[in-house]
Amino acid sequence: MNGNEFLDKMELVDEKYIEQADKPVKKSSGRILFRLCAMAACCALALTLGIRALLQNDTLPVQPESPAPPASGSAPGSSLPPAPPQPPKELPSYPELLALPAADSPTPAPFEWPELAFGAMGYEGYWLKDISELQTGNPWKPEMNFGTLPVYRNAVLYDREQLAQNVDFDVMEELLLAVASRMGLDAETIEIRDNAATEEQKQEIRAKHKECGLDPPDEASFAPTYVYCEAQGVRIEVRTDHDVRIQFETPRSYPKDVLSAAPGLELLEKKSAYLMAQYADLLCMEQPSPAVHTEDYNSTSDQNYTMNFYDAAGSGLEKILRYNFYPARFCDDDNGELFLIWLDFPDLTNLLGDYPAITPQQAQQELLAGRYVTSVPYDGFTAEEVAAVELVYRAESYDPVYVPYYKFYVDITDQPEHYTADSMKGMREYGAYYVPAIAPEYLACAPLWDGHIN
Amino acid sequence: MNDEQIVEAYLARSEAAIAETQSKYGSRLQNISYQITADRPAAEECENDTYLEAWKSIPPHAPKTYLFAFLARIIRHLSLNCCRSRSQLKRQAFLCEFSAEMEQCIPAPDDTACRLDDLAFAGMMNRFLGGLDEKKRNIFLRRYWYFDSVAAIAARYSIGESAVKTTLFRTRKQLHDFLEKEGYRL
Repeated sequence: MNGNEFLDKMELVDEKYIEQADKPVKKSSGRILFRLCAMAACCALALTLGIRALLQNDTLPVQPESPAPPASGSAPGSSLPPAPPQPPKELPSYPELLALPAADSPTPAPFEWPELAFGAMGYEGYWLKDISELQTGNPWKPEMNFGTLPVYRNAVLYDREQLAQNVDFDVMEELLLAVASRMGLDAETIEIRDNAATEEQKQEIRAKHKECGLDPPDEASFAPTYVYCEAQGVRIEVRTDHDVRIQFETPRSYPKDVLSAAPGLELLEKKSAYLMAQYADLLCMEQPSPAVHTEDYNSTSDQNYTMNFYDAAGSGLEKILRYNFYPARFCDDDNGELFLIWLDFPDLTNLLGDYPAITPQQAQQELLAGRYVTSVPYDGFTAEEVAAVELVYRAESYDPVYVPYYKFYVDITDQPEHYTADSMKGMREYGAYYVPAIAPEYLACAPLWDGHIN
Repeated sequence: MNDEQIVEAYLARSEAAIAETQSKYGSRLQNISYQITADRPAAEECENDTYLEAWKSIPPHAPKTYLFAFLARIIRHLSLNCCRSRSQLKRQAFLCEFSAEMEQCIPAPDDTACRLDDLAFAGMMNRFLGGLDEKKRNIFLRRYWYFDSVAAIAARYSIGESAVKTTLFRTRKQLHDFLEKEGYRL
């Protein structure tokens, strides 16, 4: 049979499908909710850690707010780099993927959560001169008394080989086109491709497996894990977990007036103001807010920082969810030029339940009773060594459920067998210990995450 | 008149049947034909021939619940034949484009006649289409049943042309894989 005959034979398609395809289409907004994008008029650098004083019912120290960035994102008289291509006036919105619990949600049943064990090398520890140096930009404040907190089921299911099982490529492509439009690319002409293995690649892989005496690879392992497009020196990838990666073929330099700032926090603040203005359409946030993260000290004993952006609009809970799940990250290369942007759009439409929450004080009791998960190889610490706490969600792609935790920073410097390198002398190390923020009677199976980051 | 009443009129050999059919479905049928022939007089001719064919085939057929689809099939068939018989180069090229796309769905295309009878082919195609979600199925049929252009489909469903092309590409591949997996030899 050839294509012509196939075309003719198409007339045998069922009547109901023929009629359905000819029904008038209602123009609707569908899943996409239009969100206003506004240039940020101010930003807040908020330190929201509870320190020991909080746990003893003292008032939290709060970092002073940084001055508002200039509205235009650049100082007068500066020379700006060429602006990115202007996107069309009506830009497609990003899919709305966050389900908030209703005010009168019924109390859900306990849920048996599986053990989680993904991660990288080492353990989670932070080297600082003092805990007061730690910054995360977390919008959580100890006085936010959440009676309940939502738990979400990861919409993407992964098998043992971490292959996504139920990927919706339509949503990924919708996201790709929206990001492309907001980067100034012409969504009508870009070509969307994916990284599915070609026949040739499949043959090669099968041959290698055979050579090594391995079972033939599952067909599913050849399925694409991301969709992408490339145009005008920009490559945009959308992965199965809705992580979006935007890479510039030629890194983009910052304007001179931004780079003239002193290295460290001042430079970061200037860059953040510039980025929020330049990429306002891409960020598409009602209230874009920078969140500074303390990183390790470098070899010259200067502290490093990174900065994410999140949408601080909405209630306290919305801020926390957007901070944890929908950050935007701008990455500079070794020359200090912007070469990569990451955006996260995990699907949080599967709300497992709105669970009764415990307070930070109750969580500390759980911590001291040994009911925590951690990657840190030290235990037996005292209450005096618990330095700080914050409420976080772990947003790892492969976690089957997204659970809120109280993340405690425990001073482990004086632990037996703790090693301090010469370069770190005079500094303290704080290990991260996690206590589920959900009331224990709702956790049918622990550990939720074995804390393994090896 | 509703479809049942119109078909009753055909069965009763009442000439009102054709008038009612034309009134209710005339413009939609002509649009289908025009989409294929790109020629208004030819489309009108196909429309009239469709009423004649409907008159001849009701009875024995009695498409009370699917009258439009019944008529649409007839006019599609007539329009394709009209297009081919007139040997208009542009319309030939137009059909070539579609048949080339359709060949991507066939695991081993060749010029021999279809090895499946109509019933088997219909069953196979309908099983495949039934497994698609409605939007994908509609886009596929708008292209390969109704011969809409990519731009027209994009406008109809308020999506970009790139998204239409990608959907069609993926669905053709899915059909190809379906036919291969099910062992159909077409």
